[in-house]
Amino acid sequence: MALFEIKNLSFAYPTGKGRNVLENIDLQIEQGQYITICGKSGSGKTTLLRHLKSVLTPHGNRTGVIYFHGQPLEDISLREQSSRIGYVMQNPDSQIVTDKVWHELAFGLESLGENQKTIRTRVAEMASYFGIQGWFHKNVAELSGGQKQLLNLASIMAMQPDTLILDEPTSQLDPIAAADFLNTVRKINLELGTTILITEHRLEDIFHASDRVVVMEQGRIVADDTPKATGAFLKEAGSEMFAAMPSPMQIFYGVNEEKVIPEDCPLTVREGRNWLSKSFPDGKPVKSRLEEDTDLAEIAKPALLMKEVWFRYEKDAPDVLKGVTFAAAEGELSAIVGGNGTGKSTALKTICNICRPYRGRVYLHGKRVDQYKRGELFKHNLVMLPQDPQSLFVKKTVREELEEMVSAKASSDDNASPIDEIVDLCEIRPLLDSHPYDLSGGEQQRTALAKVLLTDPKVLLLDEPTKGLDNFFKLKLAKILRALKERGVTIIMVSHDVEFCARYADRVSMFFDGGIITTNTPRRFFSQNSFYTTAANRMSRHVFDNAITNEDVIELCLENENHEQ
Amino acid sequence: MNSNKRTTLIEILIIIILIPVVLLISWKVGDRQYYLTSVIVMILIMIPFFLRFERRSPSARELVTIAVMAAIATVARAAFVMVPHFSPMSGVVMIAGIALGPEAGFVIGALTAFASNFVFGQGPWTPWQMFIYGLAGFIAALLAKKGIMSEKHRIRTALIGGLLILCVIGPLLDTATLFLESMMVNNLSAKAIYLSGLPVNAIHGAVTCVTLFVLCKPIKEKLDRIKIKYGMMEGSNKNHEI
Amino acid sequence: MRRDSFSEYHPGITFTFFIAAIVFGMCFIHPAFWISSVVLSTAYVVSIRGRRAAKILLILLILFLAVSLLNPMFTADGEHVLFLLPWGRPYTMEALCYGLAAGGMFVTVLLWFAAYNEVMSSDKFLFLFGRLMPSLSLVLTMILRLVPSFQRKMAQIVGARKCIGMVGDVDRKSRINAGMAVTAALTSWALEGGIITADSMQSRGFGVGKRSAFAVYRLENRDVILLGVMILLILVVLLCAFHGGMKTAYIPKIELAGTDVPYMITGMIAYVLFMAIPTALNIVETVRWHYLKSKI
Repeated sequence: MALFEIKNLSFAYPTGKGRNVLENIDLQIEQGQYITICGKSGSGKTTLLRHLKSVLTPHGNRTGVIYFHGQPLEDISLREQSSRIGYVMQNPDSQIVTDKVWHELAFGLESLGENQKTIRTRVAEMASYFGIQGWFHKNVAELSGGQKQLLNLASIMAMQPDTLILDEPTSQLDPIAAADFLNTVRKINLELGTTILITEHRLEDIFHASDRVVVMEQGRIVADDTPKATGAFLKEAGSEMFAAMPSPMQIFYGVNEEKVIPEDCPLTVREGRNWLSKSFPDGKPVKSRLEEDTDLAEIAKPALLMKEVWFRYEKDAPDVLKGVTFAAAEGELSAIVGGNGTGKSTALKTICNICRPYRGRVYLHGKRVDQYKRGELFKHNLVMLPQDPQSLFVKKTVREELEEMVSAKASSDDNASPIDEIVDLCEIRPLLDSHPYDLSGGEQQRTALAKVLLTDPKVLLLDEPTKGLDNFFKLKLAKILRALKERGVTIIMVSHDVEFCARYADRVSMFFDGGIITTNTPRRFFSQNSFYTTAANRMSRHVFDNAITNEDVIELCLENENHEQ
Repeated sequence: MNSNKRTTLIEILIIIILIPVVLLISWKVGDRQYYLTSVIVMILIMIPFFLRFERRSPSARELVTIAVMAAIATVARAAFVMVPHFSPMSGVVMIAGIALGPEAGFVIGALTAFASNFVFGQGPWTPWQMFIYGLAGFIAALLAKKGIMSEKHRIRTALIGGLLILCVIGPLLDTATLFLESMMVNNLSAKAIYLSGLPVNAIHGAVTCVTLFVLCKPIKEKLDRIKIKYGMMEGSNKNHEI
Repeated sequence: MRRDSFSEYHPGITFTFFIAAIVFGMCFIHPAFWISSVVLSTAYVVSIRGRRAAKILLILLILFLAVSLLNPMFTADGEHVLFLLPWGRPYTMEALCYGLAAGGMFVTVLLWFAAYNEVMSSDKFLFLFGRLMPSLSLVLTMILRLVPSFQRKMAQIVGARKCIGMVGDVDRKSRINAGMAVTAALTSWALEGGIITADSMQSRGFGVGKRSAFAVYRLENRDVILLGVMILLILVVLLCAFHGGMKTAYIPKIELAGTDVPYMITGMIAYVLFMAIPTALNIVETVRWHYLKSKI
């Protein structure tokens, strides 16, 4: 008997004007499977997942039935559901209820009214399995984002569920914490046989581990098969979703335009390397380099210049910035990459003069930032988009958010036009009357971007702009950034997102231990790294010298093929 | 129903029997135990509020909303570090009362006082503050029920809130000081304490007035929005069927 | 914080101790009693905080002087006039003694609270009241969890607004407006986050039945013994108080229960023993460890 059996499920929100968010969904989930559900934002993934647990099921018009172990889900008591079906949500912070780690682990068991002894044993078990002993007595406020999400997972596992539903669990985590988290989920699946249903943007990390991949588009299931077969199907159908598939798969199908056997398709970097090696049996290919970029010229008149900037938060605290020297060329997109807690965000704050360096200077267009008059710095000069776009939302509608900026500038002559232009640039016209918190992550970000752009900046700072965005929103963002560059805006971006930087940045700098270690063009930068680089580069570096994006690898492969013929 | 009756019985018991008994004992013992007596009376008054809250077994959403509002009232001061003496706590508590009703208003006020003392340190003032801030939320909510305070009449609401602080809440806080610090509670010491408290209360009242004027409407709207959102998830709801 | 062995006992014991010590401290105005209370509460605060106690003690000394010296101004009663105040009221010896007692009691209560704040962490309090008031203590736990997270978010909002030039200017009005905008932004964020928290609670079974309360504290043998000793001492103190062992009058004439009253002596001994418990435990512990170390 299937664990879950969804039969002909359709659903519409009461405000949805009759549009179905889910349309005739049929899905069977077997015990112990690892199932990945993917689809664009708004394809109905979350709505579908929420239907698998009665307390989370949204209100609306629903037809169809969901069976859990052969019984209709609504006939199963909430008590049984709460322990047997675990649900991990996106935001690590808001899911935590209590102030202590140990109390959070016990929360679910307390709700079920378990006795002291049972709770004690289970909590001890969970803390040991998840490696939480070290921070068992801590306040949750002291934990990092990754630890918080792990705690959420552990406190759900303490109730011993046989199904674990995860709704984009790593979208708010940095890549290292995300990989750790997904490995733990994988471990739970392998060692405990817990059924996993997961939606994710980072398909690279979970695709190969999945038994099945379900693809949703506009509320329908369009594909439901093994990862390899799903990939083949998406390619065949010319689906937009194919762009979200792991790099090795995209390269494989990019090279082999004609019919190929889906079974040969590589899913991981390791498989991709082997596949490339087989393509070039006699060692090095004929052409192994793409045309080199010209050397980075010394920037003559930098839009922004940081000169040996030192900073610490308190007199006795350790230094966060240790002599940062950095220049950004006018009209370019400079990316700063590097791990968590290396001081990247602090560097942006010193540019904004919120954190004042105790040694060193920051110049904006040749003038020291601390010499700009009050308010002048952020008017037509410099602006920063914060990591969390929600930090900028104060009002009830997107329109009011934007108007706040214009009235603050108190420019009496035609208020409407700057807003209009920015609204079109950021593609948020249809959202103007929505509440900012009703928007999806990508829409919120474009709204926040529109808000900051209303100051008409010459230099735009972005703090982790791709965090939590799916591929389609990243593409939109890239398009906006390109348009801004064309207008001469200088963009400085701090990011973990190696793939995004490789594709769109003009120069990339590595930030480590409070300073900039190297700066180079993306091609040189990433082809010189061997760990901190793109999947395409890791997969191809043994045959090609400097291919860093999927397109690079495909191009080189095809050129070599032509040579052979 | 039954447990409601029992709660009511306990309330009556406390108000008619226990409080007078405490006052009587205190009077008999003499020794001018104003502080201790007043704290016991306050705890006795708070018990029915808390009992009612417990008996109702509030839902997760209600608990979360109350916790969020109390936590906001606790941290709101930090948004005004640049403005000396500007503490919007009473104002936020009153707004919470206006939006969520008398019982929630009392609980939010009392817990805000208690929780902020976890940050600044508990002291003999804790029970008094819990009671007084609870009262602030409670009175605002009662006035809102009568339609006297509401986000629709911003000026009126702000003025009444300011007066409430100046005439009731502020003097009550001064009384706590009086009972705590002086043994000689007489006309003279009372006058000294209340007069010296007047400027502080005037500022407190003005700050509350401004807070209510600016924040009452937006916070009420945000809370209403959350109610609608919860309603959407709940299944049965009036807000949405319209 | 130094290691405090008293705080390692069961929270019930800690709480009982502080309630009794604070209530007694407020009630006993007999000089022998309030002075010993001030001495022992100071000793305990010093034993927990070490050098860090100096600042508190200095502040409390000033408070003590202020309360003791100001209080007598509000009464003219008493037999021995020390001097006349500028506005003609007499400042009497009896009133001064009374004032000192008032100051001492005030300070001792604050000292006990200073120790309480170090020893009774929020989990201990919640553990004690969690069963009695499950909903309220859960709300309190949530508030304690939200406060640091809101503080962090508020700093983020302020920073984000600064970086788009939305700062309050120098004048008070715009600063207040800026603060209001930050509070409004925080409220939106907090309430939306609350929806997720509520979902997460329900998803983990909140509301399906009666909750139990998990605790990391256990009642051990030594706790029971200490509790017995404490209750015994409390009863002795109460009994003596009931029989007039702490009888005191300052105004208009100083009349004290003297050493010739057996209830005074017994009450005094029991009171001192009671208040010395935490400090004594700390000393015993230190000695024991020195001993154990020297044996190695």
